[in-house]
Amino acid sequence: MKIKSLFLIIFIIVLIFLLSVCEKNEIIKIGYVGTLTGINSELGVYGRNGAQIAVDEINLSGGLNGKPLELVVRDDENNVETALKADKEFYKEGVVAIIGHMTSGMAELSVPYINEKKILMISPTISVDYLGRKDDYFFRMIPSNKDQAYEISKVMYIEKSHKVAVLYDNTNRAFTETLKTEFVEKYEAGTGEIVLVEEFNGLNTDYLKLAEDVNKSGADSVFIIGGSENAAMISQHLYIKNITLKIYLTSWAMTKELINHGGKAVEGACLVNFYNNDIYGEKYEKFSAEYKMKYKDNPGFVAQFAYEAVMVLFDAMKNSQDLSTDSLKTYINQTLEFEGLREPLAFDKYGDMNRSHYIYKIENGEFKLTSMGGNI
Amino acid sequence: MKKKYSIINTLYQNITITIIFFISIVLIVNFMASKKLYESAVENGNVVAKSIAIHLEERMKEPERDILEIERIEIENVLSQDQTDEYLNDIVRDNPFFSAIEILNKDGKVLNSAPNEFHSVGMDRSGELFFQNNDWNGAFYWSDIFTLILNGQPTIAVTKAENDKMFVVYVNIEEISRISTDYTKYFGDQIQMFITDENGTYISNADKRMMFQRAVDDENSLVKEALTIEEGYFISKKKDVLVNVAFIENVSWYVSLQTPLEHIYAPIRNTYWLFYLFVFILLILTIIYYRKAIRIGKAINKFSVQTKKITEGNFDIEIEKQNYRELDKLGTNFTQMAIELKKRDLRLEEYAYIDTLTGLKNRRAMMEILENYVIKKVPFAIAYFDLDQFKNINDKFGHYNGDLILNQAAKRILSAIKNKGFLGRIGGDEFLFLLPFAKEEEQISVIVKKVIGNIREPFEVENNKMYLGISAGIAMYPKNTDNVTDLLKFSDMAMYSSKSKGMNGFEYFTPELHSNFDRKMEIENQLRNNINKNEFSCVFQPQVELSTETIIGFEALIRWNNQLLGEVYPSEFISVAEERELIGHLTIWMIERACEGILGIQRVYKNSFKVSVNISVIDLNDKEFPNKLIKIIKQKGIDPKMLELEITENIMINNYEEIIGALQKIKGYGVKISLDDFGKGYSSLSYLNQLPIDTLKIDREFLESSRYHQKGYKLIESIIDIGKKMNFAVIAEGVETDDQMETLKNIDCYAGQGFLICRPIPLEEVIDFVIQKQ
Repeated sequence: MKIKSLFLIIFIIVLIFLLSVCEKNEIIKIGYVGTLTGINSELGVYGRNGAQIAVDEINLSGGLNGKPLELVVRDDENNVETALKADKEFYKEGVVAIIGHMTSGMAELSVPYINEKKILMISPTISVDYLGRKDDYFFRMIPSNKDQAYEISKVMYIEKSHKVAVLYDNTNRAFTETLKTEFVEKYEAGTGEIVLVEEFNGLNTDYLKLAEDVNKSGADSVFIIGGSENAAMISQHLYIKNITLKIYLTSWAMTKELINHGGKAVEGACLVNFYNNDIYGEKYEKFSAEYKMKYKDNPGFVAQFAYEAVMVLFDAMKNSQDLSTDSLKTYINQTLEFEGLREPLAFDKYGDMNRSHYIYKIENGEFKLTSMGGNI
Repeated sequence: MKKKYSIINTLYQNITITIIFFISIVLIVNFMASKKLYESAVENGNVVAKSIAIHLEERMKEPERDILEIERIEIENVLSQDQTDEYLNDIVRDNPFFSAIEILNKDGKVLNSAPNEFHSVGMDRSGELFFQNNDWNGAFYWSDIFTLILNGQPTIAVTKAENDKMFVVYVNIEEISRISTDYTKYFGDQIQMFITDENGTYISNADKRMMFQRAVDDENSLVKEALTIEEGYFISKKKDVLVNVAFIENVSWYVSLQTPLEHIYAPIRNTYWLFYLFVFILLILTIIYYRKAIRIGKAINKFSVQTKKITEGNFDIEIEKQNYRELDKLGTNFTQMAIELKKRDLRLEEYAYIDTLTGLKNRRAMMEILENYVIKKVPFAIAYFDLDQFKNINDKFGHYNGDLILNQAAKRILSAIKNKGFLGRIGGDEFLFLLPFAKEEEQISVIVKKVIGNIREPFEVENNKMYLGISAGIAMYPKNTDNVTDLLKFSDMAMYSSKSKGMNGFEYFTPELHSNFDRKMEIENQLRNNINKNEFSCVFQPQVELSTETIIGFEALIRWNNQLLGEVYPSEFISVAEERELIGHLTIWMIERACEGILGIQRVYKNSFKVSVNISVIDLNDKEFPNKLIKIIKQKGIDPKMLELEITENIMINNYEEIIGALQKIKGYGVKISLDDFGKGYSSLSYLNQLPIDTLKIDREFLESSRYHQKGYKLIESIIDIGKKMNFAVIAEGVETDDQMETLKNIDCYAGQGFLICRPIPLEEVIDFVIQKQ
């Protein structure tokens, strides 16, 4: 045996040894952030679940060129400071992009930050209007909330709701106030009357007072701009008092918790949303099955949108020249159509998703699509 | 063939095997210790997980007990609505475990609730999953985790529904988590524990956020699997932890106990530095050993290169000091061996180049010197010496004395040449002297003369004085030839030429010698080949008394008619026969013919005449010659007085005491001795006294010269006078003219011989001649 080959063998052994010590698969990280705890954490939790399903599915089919993706989940605790902190941590960790946040209020500090640091952010559910019409690093899977106000006001006229009490959650003003203002403007343009406009603290709500105020206002309908649990509780308190009103809700409240916790109190409530649950194909069936298997539940729109957000990002990661934010952004901007769970997805030039509006009604504890949607 | 092993490879292999062996030992020990630790961790973990499960099972019976109590009171219907609420409030207040308690009717409407501040009476719970999923069979039902709408906290509803009422206790998950984690702490800080429900949703986790966020355990399926196959543990792929699993039956929850593998292997890990150190030391040792092996290998290779040089004959190499004692010893031995070999080689060289007898260079050495000079084209002269008649000395005194004389002769030659040139003995009694840079013959002839002079001084052998002669031939390079072989041949020719003209002389090589030499060679060859054939014949020349013209005898002369060379004169072939020592045979043959001649004449003429035969000095040097002669005389039955041997003066050149002894012996037997060619060569009057001669034969040249010179005439007269006074019969040879005859008669010369009287004639004619004369 030659001395050289001997040293070679020793070298190889040492190399294998070192490699085995250092062996760590390169993992591509994607950030996910939303409100995961407390009241109004449904959007965050369901969004996470949907995003996780997407990541699992991608990893199961080999990840990105063999490299697995990891969904790094953070909780913004429905607090703008915490939200910013989470984004900063993502930046430090070097995530490819952030999926989130889930509620409009969290965008206040986060969106300027991600634009400054050039971090791609795709929000499944933030719809606040002021973020639209900007060519920045913020993308969303949902259109501006302004249109929701218009849609709801239209439905109210159809249903002859003439005296409306408007209740809005002041913990998510970015979303609720724009919507409220827009709604008031749109609704008052007609013949209807707004009898009450009252804000409430979504985290610590005095439901008794709200119910009392609505009762006193003589409203025949109530437009609650809040999350599903607040909406359910307000509805329950109205229900306790036998106050029978038509209830109108935004897409924010459209989760199963609304039905679970609202029970009979939310029967007949009207909601606006951006998906047509009558349209589904193999892709949605597969997603739904996987979601059910993992979470023992049906996926709501939030989970669907979050799933789609991850899939759009992954499409960009696969096809753009590299994983830099600008490359990804350029790819998304230049791509006319992405595959969606139910329908093809298309962003406008500012990175806002164009979606149609659909009106749902709760009937027998289920969301039923009505024909009242603006695009139907 | 048996396989040959390399020392270095063997070293390498042994080192490698040792290293591999040690590393294997370490790995095996490490592996076995790890296995033991792991097994005990598994066992331990299973016990702890079960213990936690049992503990929690017990605790989870509390809400059920409370529900049973509430139900009992409700059935007994002893409390009013308000009292019931109060009672429920007490329970909630007393139990931090509970978030709220509600009693629902069949439609899901809240009938009673605690605590009061939730104001939930009248609310509709028909949408809640725990309500919808309830079988109303009176069994306890534990819901999935959900956010309690009343306080926004994650919760689990424990329900029991029967008849028209449902009792709901909302269990605060955070509290369950606290209880379980508190209990886990008994088992050490390193152990992490979490509890999941059927879906894998966290019910308890050290990281509370995981519960609040309603996160799902990724490895839920592994947890379930671990329980179904009753091992109760698995290794998490992602986290590198050992997970021990236990099942809490009454709530269908799973306890997962996570022990980091790092923690399990910590006892070994603590010794890892030792392991790494060991491996490091092994590596260092390996490198050191390999380097040593390389050095040994290099040393051995170097050693082998050096020894190889020795085997190639380069004995001057001294093997360097070795770093390894064994090699050094081997090296010393090799050096010693090389020295011995060198000595032996020198000795061999001596044997090869030195003549051991005389200490002079031998033929080979001289040849090399010659060749070297020729190659360098340095002009030089050589003298080829040959001791005259040396064979006789060996014959006479034996080889021992012969060698002594040779040795002495060598010394004398050496002293004559002093330090000039090179001298070697190149044959038995042949010496070669080389004088470098000699361009003229004279340069070497001075030395050669000195050599001849030195040799002529008497030698002492066994207290006897004896005389030796030496002859030399001189050849020049490049004047005569540029070829070593030819040069030697030429000097040899010159030497023989000199020798044939008489001993104790020298001659230069000339081109004519070359042709003479060829003729001689031919004669020699023919002599050798035909000496026993009938090519020789004998003729007789009469000798007559001048005054009376009566026959006094005959001289027997040899004739040779060779088939190839034709008639060859004795003057030519006799000298060749003498040089090549073939003469003895011819002499004997002639003596026999002479005897036959005597007998032949006797048969016809009754009275016979003496017949003389020429003998050579070579014959006389033969110790056996007198006996051979006497034997022939006896065989032939002649009167010894009738036979006369003719000798020449040159027999006296050396060994004359011996020769005189031999002659006296012959003479004592009755054979007459005649001194032939007197006056030619080394004639010395003192010989006349010493030699036992009867007849003096005057050389024909004297007779020839006497015709022209008065001195010659006087000289012959004096010789005849001396002969008369010393009582020798004087015979003049070569009487060919009447003048000569007249002269001889005038000075009263006794007898004559020659063509004027009669040419040599065959035996048949001798008879006629005798008859005619008488």
